[in-house]
Amino acid sequence: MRTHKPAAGSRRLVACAWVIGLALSAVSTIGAQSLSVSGSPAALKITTASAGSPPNAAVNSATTYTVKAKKANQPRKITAQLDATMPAGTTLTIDLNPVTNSTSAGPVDLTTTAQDLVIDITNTVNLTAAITYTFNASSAAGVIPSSFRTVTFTLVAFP
Amino acid sequence: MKFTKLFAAAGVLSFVASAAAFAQTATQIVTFQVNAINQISVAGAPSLTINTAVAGSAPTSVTDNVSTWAVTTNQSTAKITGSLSAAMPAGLTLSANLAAPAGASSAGLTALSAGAVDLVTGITKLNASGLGLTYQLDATAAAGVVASSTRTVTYTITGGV
Repeated sequence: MRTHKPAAGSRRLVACAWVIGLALSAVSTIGAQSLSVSGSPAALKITTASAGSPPNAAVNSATTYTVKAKKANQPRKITAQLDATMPAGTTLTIDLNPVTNSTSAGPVDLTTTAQDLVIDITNTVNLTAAITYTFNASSAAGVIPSSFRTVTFTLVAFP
Repeated sequence: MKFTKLFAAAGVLSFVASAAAFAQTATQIVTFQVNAINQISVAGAPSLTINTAVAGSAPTSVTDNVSTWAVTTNQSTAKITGSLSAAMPAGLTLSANLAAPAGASSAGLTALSAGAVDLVTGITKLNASGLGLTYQLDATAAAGVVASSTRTVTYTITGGV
């Protein structure tokens, strides 16, 4: 049986490396950028229409997002994308209210490609703002049973 | 020494991994559905008065085409039926003609009664408005003079799948 026992100097080196790594990790966490959401919205159900017009949209503004940048001079932006395309004849639109000093892109039709929702985020303390979803369907879309999509928000460097 | 380097590298990687763990993403699950929708509306207040005839013929029929109708359905093969709130007086016939939206079929000018009759069929997944709605009132001479009366015409959209 062979064993490996590092010399005392080597053991100290390893210990230092771990301590430094953990310290850096802690520092990184304390000053880190962050993005979170308050949960998922209630189901968006289209149930009515005015005769002669497309079905009425379903809207939900009950959820929020909370965001902060790591440093004010390193602005961030929030993008969003779907995990799969929406059914034909339907659109899922999202609108994030801007947090202080940031800029919202306004209503954006979500797709499987990441799109900017809020840009120039510079706040270094957590700020919260509303998320509004609007679900539209044309008459041609027909009846659609309960379905879901995952919306992934990502906080990345801006620009 | 290799073992030592490995652990040292792991120590540094603990920071890198920690940073990666804070890659900033968040997710929401959005649930949606569309229920069956069938809506019809009509606009206009038609009024029909028969007050002339060609000698030797029945009183001259009158038509009213100021009304329109609109429809929304997200189902297939829906149809429009029409019915009267009460039968017409003897010798009088009230008929309706609904213009068909794209892809559907109109029954043309059809006499209305207290029982539902098909007026437009084959309406599939569309919304349309401003569609023509024409009424016609026919009277026989035997109907005599009929004082001003009203009937409610009820249009119903049914049968979508």
